[in-house]
Parts: sequence; C-alpha cells; structure tokens
Amino acid sequence: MAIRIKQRQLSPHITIYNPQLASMFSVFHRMSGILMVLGVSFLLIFVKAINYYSSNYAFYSLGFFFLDYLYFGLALCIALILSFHIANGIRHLIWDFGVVGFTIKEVFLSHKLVILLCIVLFLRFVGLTIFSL
Amino acid sequence: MQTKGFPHWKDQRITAILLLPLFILFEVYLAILVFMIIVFGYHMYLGISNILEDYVHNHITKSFCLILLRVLTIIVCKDLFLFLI
Repeated sequence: MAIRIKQRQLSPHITIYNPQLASMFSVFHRMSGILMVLGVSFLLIFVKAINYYSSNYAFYSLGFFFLDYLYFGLALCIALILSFHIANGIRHLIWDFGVVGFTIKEVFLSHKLVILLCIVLFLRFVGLTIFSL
Repeated sequence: MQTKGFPHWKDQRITAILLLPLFILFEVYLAILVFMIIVFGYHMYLGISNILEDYVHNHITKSFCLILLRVLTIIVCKDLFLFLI
C-alpha cells in the first residue's frame, strides 16, 4: 500500500511554469542572497589558504600564477550579484512603505529601473577596483 | 516552538536600510567598519534563516542547521573583519 502511494505521479508544476519577469526577479533576489553567502565564505577561505601557503617555496615553485585572476573574477561575480540584490532590495523597501509601485504600469517601470540601477552599481564597483575612482 | 514573525521582518528591513549608506561609507570612514560588519552579519543571518525555515521540513534537521548557521555567521564576521582591516 505505501509503495503504491509513493509511485503515484504528480501533476506538472515546474515543467509548465511560465517564467514572468516579476517572479524571476523574486527568485533571483533569494538566489543572490544564498550565492553571496556562499561566495563570501569561499572567498574568505580562499584568501586564508593562499595567505597561509604563499610563503612556502614549494607552493611558489608550482607556479599557480592565475590565482590572482581567479580571486579578481570571484570578487567581480560577487559585485554583480550584490548590485542586483541591492537594486531589487531597494524596490522591496519602496514597496514596504505601502504607497507607490503596486499598479502594473509601475511594476513594469520598476523592472527597467532595477536593471538600470544594477548595471550602474556594477559599473561603479568595476571602476572602483580597476581605476580607483 | 515560538517563532516571532514581526521582529524578524522589522529587523530585516531596518538592517537593509542601515546597510545602504554603510556599504559605501565604510571605505571612507574606517571607524564604522565593525558596526557595518555586525549589521551585515545580522542581515545575512536573518535572510538565510528565512530560507532554511522555508525549505527544510524536518524539525530536527532545521534546528541543527539554524545552530550551525549562527556559528557560520560569527566565523564569517570574524574573517571579514580580518580581511578588511
């Protein structure tokens, strides 16, 4: 009896999902939070490990000279995820005041503003690291 | 098991509003670095505990994961401070 109950099918739920922009923003907001925690934790472990083994000649003679670029690429990915989280977070905070942004026209406008703000913040992070603005 | 919803929601919004200027200003004024890291850690803990309470259905596994999450938050705050100082 228990085996028969477990082998029943489910009706399709994820396979027929039609992704809208609003739901994708909400999913990416939550996913960006998780990815940032994992990314920051991994970055800290990575920096500690490199710092511990850098003074060893055997590690230097192996020649891992790409690790600087790996660290920089990881920091850039975290910057992109962070700028999206900040932009969508500002939209959530404006919604939480309960005054603006609930009609469908305002929601579509807010999508474009979130993408624009995400790009602006990411360019600012890139400029900070590369050009020390 | 008592879980309060409104202080969780309110603290998430307050730390988010606090974190917006703090994320830019901590590079300029080094004195608010510790405050920024604590607020960042609290915001991270609130967000991830929300996710764990949503998606982990066994109460023993969920309690264990929440305890480990607190340990992770303290370790991340400590390492972030040593990294940024």
